[in-house]
Amino acid sequence: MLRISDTSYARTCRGISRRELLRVGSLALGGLTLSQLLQVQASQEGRRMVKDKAVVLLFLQGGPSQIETFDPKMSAPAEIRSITGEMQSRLPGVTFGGTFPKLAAMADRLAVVRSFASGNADHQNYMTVAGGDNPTRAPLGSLYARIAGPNSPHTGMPNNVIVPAEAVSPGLRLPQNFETDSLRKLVNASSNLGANYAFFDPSGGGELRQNLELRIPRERLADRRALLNQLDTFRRQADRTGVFENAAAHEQQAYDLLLRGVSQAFDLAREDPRVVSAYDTSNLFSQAEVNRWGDMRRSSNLLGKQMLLARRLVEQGCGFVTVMDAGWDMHSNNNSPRNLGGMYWLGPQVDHAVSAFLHDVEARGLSDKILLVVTGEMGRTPRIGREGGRDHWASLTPLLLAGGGLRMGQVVGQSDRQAGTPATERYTPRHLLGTVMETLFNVGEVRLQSDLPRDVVNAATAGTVIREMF
Amino acid sequence: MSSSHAQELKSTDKLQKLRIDSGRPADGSFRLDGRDAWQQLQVTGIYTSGQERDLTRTVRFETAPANLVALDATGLVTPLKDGKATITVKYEGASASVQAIVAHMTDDVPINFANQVVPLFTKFGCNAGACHGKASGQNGFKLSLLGFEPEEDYEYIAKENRGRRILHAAPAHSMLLLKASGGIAHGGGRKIDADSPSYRVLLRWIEQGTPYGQPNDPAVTRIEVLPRERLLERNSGQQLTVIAHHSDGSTVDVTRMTQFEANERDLAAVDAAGLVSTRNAPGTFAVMARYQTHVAVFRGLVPLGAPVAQLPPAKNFIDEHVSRQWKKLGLPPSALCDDSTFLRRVTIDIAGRLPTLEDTQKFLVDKDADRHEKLVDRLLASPDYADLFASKWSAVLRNRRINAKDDARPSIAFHGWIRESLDKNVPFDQFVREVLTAQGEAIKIPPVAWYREVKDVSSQVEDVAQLFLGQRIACAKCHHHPLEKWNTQDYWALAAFFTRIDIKAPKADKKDKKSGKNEPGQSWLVSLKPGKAEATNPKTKKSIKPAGLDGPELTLTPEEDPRSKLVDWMADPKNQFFARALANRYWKHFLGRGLVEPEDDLRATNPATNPELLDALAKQFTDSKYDLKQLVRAICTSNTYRLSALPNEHNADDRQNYSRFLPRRLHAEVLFDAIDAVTLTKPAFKGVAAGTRALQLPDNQFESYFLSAFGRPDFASACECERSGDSSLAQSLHLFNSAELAKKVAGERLKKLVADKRPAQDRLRELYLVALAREPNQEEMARMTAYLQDRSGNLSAAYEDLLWAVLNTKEFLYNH
Repeated sequence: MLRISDTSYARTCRGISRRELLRVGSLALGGLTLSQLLQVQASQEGRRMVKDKAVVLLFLQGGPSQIETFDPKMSAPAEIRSITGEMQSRLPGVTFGGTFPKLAAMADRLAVVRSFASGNADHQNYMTVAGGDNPTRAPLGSLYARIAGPNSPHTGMPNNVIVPAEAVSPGLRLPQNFETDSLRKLVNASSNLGANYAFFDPSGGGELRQNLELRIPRERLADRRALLNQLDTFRRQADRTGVFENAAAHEQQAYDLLLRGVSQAFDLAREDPRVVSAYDTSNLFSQAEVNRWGDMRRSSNLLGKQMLLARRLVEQGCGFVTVMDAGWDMHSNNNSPRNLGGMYWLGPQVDHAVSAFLHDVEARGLSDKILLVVTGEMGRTPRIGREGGRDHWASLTPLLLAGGGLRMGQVVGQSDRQAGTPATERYTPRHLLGTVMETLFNVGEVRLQSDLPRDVVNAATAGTVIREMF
Repeated sequence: MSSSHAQELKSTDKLQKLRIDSGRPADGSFRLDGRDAWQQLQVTGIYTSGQERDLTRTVRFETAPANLVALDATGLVTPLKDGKATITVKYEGASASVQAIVAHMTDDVPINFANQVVPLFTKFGCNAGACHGKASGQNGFKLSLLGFEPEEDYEYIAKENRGRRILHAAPAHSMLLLKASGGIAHGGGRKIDADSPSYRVLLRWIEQGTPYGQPNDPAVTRIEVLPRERLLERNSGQQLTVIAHHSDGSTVDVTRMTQFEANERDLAAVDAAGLVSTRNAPGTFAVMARYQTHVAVFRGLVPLGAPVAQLPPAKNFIDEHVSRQWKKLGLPPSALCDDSTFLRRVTIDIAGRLPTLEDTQKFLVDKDADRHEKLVDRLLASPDYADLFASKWSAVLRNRRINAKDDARPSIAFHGWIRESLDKNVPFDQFVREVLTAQGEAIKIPPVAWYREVKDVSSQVEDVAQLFLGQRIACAKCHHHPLEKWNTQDYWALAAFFTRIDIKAPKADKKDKKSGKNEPGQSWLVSLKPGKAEATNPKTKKSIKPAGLDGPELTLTPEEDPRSKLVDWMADPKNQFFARALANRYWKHFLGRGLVEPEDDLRATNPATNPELLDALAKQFTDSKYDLKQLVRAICTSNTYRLSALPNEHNADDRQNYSRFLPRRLHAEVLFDAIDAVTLTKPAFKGVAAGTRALQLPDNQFESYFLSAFGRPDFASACECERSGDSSLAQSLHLFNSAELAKKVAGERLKKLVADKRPAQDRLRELYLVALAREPNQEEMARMTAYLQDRSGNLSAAYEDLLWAVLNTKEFLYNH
């Protein structure tokens, strides 16, 4: 979980919360101030199993082409090489696909893995990648939350948040297609380790989210709280044994969240408009036009805002954000434009949103604390089909990593001449699992945790790191 | 006050004698062979009170002649020159001495790889599971985990990639040394300082031509920790010495090559040099010392030293053992709790529900001297007892469907069977036998459902070991258990009991298209395959016969069900694990803390805080022919169980010795039902009979955000740790601000309270009796009536607030 002690948000909130508490007149009985609370938590954390890091996983749903993204292979015959051409990157001799000029220009701050293969060629099965093929079949974020806790101990922010397009556009109703179903499966799988660790989905619904919105007038909550403090006789008598320490900390968080609303973090209107416009991708293409295609019904032009929301959440203590971007199933049959035409919509959007995110994160000095992972459930056939599309492909999958304190400015591994299989050691979802876990945890400590179920420890330690990243 | 009391005691306690120990005396001397030998000395003061205190870091050491050995402030002796030296310590008028014999300073002793080199990799963490010790190694260099396989390590270092890691021509430039000492880039950083003793051992080993050692070189047979146990003051220290005993009878100090780990962080910590430091809490703790595959334990007792004058009378053997511990520690227990508290406590713990209004009204006027015992008997005889414990056992026996849509019948049947067994008080060994030896079709033979989740041999071995024997044996599947004596042989011998099991997944009904006949499907099916019960150790490829842990190897005929033989071994009264594991599990259920923690990790290196009590509980359980209700009765009728949760002036820091009752939050299902009972809400779970309470649900596929948020287990492992009693933010938010609770609070109870024509005091008294099994005290009553008066314009809202507040008190949310 990332801990930022000096953001303007925290300052504001501490101020507001303190005033609130004084106003309701229960600070004395209500227990701890925020700084005391942080002390309590810091002492509980003693073992440093959880590193001060966060992961943002941008999942390109549908199976993005490895070739048109980060391995254009222009040396290959026309029926193989990138349909969108290539773009010289900042690294000598390394090019990206033609729709990624901004990322190419910052390639020194990225790592592209060209020998990553999901081993999966099916949309329904994309837990393989989203979960790093861990044996519990829970997504990476749920596994993280199971070990690090469902909420940030510092801010109460949920630790495993999923950000679909709906999360940044209240009332958005995207049409249904196969991707709706895949997403639902992913969300269901996120409760494999128990509902406490399931995705927190800010786009409406969800009891936890609902519970964050105060249902009664603030004054009435204050009255109730004062009454409760008067009646909590047993608590006063037994307090000195320390038995209610944790519960008191959580209650304090709950009051804080209810009275000031953690919902603020989910509200992009609170962000500096200049920052919002730096991320914004909504002018890149018309969403209505894209949604006419069957395989792109869940595509949106909102990825910029989704990435911005991801940054806000991580900054407020969320340890794992999964951002969903849809429409990458580009067979170029009647369900998506010919000749991988979808790339000209979705490619530039990823290029813009991801580069804006990375620049913003860098400006805030957080590059080493946040690992961004961009991938999808599979790659696409090296050979372009008759209608100019590419089909499902298990033996290579695009994978881009940025930040997190890992080694940047490199291309890891190579694909063969057809960009069809790894020519160097094949990296699998288990390597992604290992890399992510190694970034977030001191994995050796996780192994020693006797209070974690064996399945969870096994899952967290089942991976192997991508060697070149460390 | 208690700490000044202890200090006072210390100041009147006079030093009588000093003792200096090496742990390996032969005629009052110890040997240091070779340039890199060392010896940890321990200096002990013996006081007039009889207490022994560690003075190693307090005294001054003198040596004569002066130039043969060196001594540092921690009491570590290192050799300088061949010869005999006398080491003397003096302190407060007392003195003691010991002789050191130094030899082989010039003619080096050949290094033995397994004895001297491998332990270095362990000491510096090179072969840890997080580093080169993991199965895939690290950056192309692999070591056996924790040095358990020296021969493999020798392969990896001296043979694999020959010329790469070792440079015979220039030993100091070997990659092994350069990496370890930071001479060239090393992902793990600098581990060994150049020219430290450890470095020199590695260097000399390379200089000697990387010998493995001679076949007749002495091997370590066991290690010993000194002292074995000691009474320690709070916030004091104790140096440990670890001695390795060799096959030839020789000994060597391995203190600085040993890993130490303390089991009670509240009580004590231990550093890499073997210095134990106690903290402020009283109690007992253990320090595990691990050297290669050997383990040993130091046990510390940290008394509080307060007067233990008034003890509640001993009701049974439990009280005798517990009060012995209080006296030993000088830890006075809290007073006995009042009848309201006891009634609520024991009803929740045995029956998983709140006492009803009638229960409470009757019990509070009962003057019978045996009323507590009779209450326990009534609760044990009630169907609620079976409900609560069926819920507990269903979870660890993994009675779950993967999806809510899966056939619920096996779950319902298994849950019903567990419930009925508990209700009938089937002896526990028979219960275990019926689960393990289940054969046939699930639903018809309900416990077959256990095999639905516990499908492969490894899960069977590991679940049985953890659940019924308190042994976490999973590590020994692939390598020697780092914290235990178990090795792969033990693991696969246990596995051999399960290798004949055949499990078939369920089949749906099918209609044959040609004949039009219905082919009935079937549920989970378990049978025994013909053949011999044996397993293959994947490491040695040798076939292994079935054997219990530390048990004899069995030769079974094909007609015998191996699982039944396993249960025979478990249920043998002489079995060291079976009764203890259950007794500890149940003790924790009622007292909030296992005698061993975690409750299913009964290692020799993780001893019970009160071993005599655990033995006595296990004996009682065995003698009763594994009668669960008798065990519960013994625990719940003890005065230990009846102590107040409120601390006295001495025992607020004690969480270990049962000197007060440890409050804990109600389990998810119990809390759910308790809120329903107070608010008069009828539970409405889908797919079960109307009125089925949360505690009575057959498995966890009944959707409830409340139950999940409050830690309902997932039924996915045999570990009790799945059930979480921890508080969380989600819980607080749910109690404070959820639609679910708001609706319940605004329900029937509120209507009843508002419509009640009696004076407010009577209504509030009833609310308190229902929720807390007591009447409000004067102050509470005054506050509540004032709250109502202030809001006389909207009494319904005021009562709603009151109800909300009562449900949110710790007194309601916790069993105390």
